[in-house]
Amino acid sequence: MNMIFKALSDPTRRQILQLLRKRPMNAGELAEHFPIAKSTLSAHFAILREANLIEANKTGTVITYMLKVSVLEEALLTFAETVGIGLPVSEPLKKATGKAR
Amino acid sequence: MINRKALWISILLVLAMIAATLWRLSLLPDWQHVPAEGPGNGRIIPAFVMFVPPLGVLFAMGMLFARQWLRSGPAEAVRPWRLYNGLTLVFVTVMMTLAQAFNLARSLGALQSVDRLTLAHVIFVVTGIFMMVTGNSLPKMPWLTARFRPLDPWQWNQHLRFAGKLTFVLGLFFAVGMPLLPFNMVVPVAIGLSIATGAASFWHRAKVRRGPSPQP
Repeated sequence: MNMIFKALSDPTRRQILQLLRKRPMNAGELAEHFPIAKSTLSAHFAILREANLIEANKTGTVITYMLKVSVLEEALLTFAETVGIGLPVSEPLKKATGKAR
Repeated sequence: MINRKALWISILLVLAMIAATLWRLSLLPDWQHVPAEGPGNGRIIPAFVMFVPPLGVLFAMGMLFARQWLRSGPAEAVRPWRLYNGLTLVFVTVMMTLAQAFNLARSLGALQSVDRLTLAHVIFVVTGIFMMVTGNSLPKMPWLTARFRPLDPWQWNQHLRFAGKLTFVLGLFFAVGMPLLPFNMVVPVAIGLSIATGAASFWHRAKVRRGPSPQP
């Protein structure tokens, strides 16, 4: 369970899962959506695979990822996305909580 | 595609149910009519009603064997399905056996203090929880090919995600909504919802199969 929460707590990993909701994608296709190094992205894939949220199928040299989430994990993903867990705190909220100073 | 141990447990329980029912019928002067609430009590039911629970289990077994005939896949994909189907079969069998034991005990005049409505609610809550658990894990099940109109891995994944959500929501309703319904509505609502869920699942499978697939 800890693995799932860890995997879903990161906005980049959640975005990967959102992209995989639409269709299966290979690492290259997914990388086009993120301005981060491929090695960092690979680390995210590893965490998602460890949490059993995605499935990787290797065909030749291409690895295709597919979403593999249970009903509750999908609900949790939607909840985390709606609430914005792991996102930087917005300016109005910072001001309201006095953290801007 | 049923776990062998689960299959044996189910077969033995079905045989036990049939044997117990035949024994109960042998005690009656008129074996075609069974006193539902004990000897000397008013309510009489036809004898064939007593065979509904074992027949229900045999029907579930038949459905699982049909699924086995219709679908196939590599051993590592079939193994989790065997376990999943085996657990489902054992759950159905145990619930039916308990219901049959209750019916037989009531027919013999025992357990008169137990309220049928309370028992029905308990059965729905337990069944609902089981459906929520199985529905939740359904999208994680591996891809299998089919004898007729097979789905590719992506379509299969889409379909299982839908079917899983549907089963989960139905289970949630069984567990939470059913205890709120009056007794005479419980069975028709349960049957109606189960048929509607099955139909929706078939419709979604056909829709997914007809639609474009991005599967590489």
